[in-house]
Amino acid sequence: MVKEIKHPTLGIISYYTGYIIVGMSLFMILPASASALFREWNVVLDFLISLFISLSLGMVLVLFGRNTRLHNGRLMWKHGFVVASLSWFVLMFLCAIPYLLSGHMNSLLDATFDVMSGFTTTGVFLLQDLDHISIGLNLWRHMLTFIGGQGMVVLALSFLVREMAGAYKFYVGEGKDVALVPNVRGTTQIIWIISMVYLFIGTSTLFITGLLIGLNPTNAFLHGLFMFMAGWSTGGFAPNQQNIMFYHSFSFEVVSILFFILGSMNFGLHYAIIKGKKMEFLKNIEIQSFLITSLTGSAIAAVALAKSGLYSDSVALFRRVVFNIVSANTTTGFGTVFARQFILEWGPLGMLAITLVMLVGGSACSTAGGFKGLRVGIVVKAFFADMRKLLTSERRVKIEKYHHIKDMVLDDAVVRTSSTIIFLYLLMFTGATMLGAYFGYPVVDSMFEAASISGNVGLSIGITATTMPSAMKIYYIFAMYLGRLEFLSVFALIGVMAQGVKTWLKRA
Amino acid sequence: MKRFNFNRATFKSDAVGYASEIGWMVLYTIALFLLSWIISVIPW
Repeated sequence: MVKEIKHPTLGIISYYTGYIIVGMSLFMILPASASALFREWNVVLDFLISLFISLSLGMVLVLFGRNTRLHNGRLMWKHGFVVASLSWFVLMFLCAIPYLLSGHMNSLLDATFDVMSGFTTTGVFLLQDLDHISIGLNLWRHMLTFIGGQGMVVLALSFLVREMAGAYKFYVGEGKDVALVPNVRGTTQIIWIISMVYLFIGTSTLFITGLLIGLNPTNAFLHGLFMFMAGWSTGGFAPNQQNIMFYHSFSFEVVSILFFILGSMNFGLHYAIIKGKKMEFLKNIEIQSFLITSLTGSAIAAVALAKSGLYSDSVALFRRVVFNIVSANTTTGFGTVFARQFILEWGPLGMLAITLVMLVGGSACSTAGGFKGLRVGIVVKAFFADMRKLLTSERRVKIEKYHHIKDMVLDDAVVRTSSTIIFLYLLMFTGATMLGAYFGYPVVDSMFEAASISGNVGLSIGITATTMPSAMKIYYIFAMYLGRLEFLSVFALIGVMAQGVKTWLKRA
Repeated sequence: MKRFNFNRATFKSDAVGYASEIGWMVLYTIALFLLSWIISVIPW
């Protein structure tokens, strides 16, 4: 007979969190196998140890919650949100074990920082001596960013957890909210299929480009795979310290730009275009918002830098200015200039343009971060609608709409949610800027880094380094985490924990 | 539950869909390059 345990919430959360941890842990087999292939035996051992630890913890959590799930398995919104945020938090520590064992990290905090940066597709890192890390660890870094972009919960819902009532709550908890088909499992599978098709197309294209620019076939394949994973997930990691500058190649940059813009697009939009709505690209509010912000940002920065005489020809302007602006706007973070060049050469106007596009970010329900183009589009549209209402006859009632896959009504609830999230992002950005200023960094530098971290971008001006204060590392970890999960899930986790503590105190 | 079907017609129309997405991206990248070119030829 199965005994029912007393706290159903705890049991349900434990069961599904355990499930997601088990699923993610199994992925460690891939870098371990890659390392075995390249005879990196120490690294194989690192991954086996990590696999053992995380698999054990996942299994314990599944077993702990199993009885509750069987008898009292009604899923509520708070469960979905808490499972999403808790599994991300626990996995941050578990996935950091291979980093720690590699000897390339200065501390556990640095290792967790790098994992959260990977999961949230930010792309800043504190790893030491990146140019000499193992192939296994490099694959692991890029896998984290690739899986994090799609979402660990999305992964678990696609392949592990059976279709069940309430699964949608997990899906929304991870910051995605577009139902592509009526069932969640179908939706999450479509997300993975689109990503895998592009993984094939992107890796092949970058592999060929790599061969053409002189990389040997093995390196061309690995670099193609890594750069695609980082680009598609708008992560911005690269297998080398110099990021995309390592390749010194116009063609490599052009191919990358195609895939990271694609990666920043809403999965709903991908699905609509793939299924035949080709003109959706021009009608969609998110794309319109992205086109306006990226073209305006590029124009402002390009004019500022052309005027300063730093980059005078079109190729230099495209490779050094437009590339970085689009990389920032899609929240990718591939950089074609060194961190200090932003400060020393770009000047205030260039810096302002890049900071603003970083805050706006890519599309909702994509791998990108920031406020998201959809929300900016909705708020701007609501503003113009209000102005129109003021100027026309008071008796006239007009229903305002916006186009996102289909025509949607621009009601107050949509505008309120969008404004709240934009407000929370700005609050987090201000906090990060103030913290930077408190620790003595110039305000403009702090703003740049804060926008990059809050928007999950990954361009750095040099503040993010292993020598920065621990308080800043911790704040940045939370900012990345909150930014990617879009606040609600993390707040739900804190709420449930507070409830638990309250109940426990009452009983004691 | 409705399963994905991988028949030839679906594959073909999906391939056209993916190609059109990449096509849009190529056009946008060209537009970005044109923007750089226009800005580079204006004597600021």
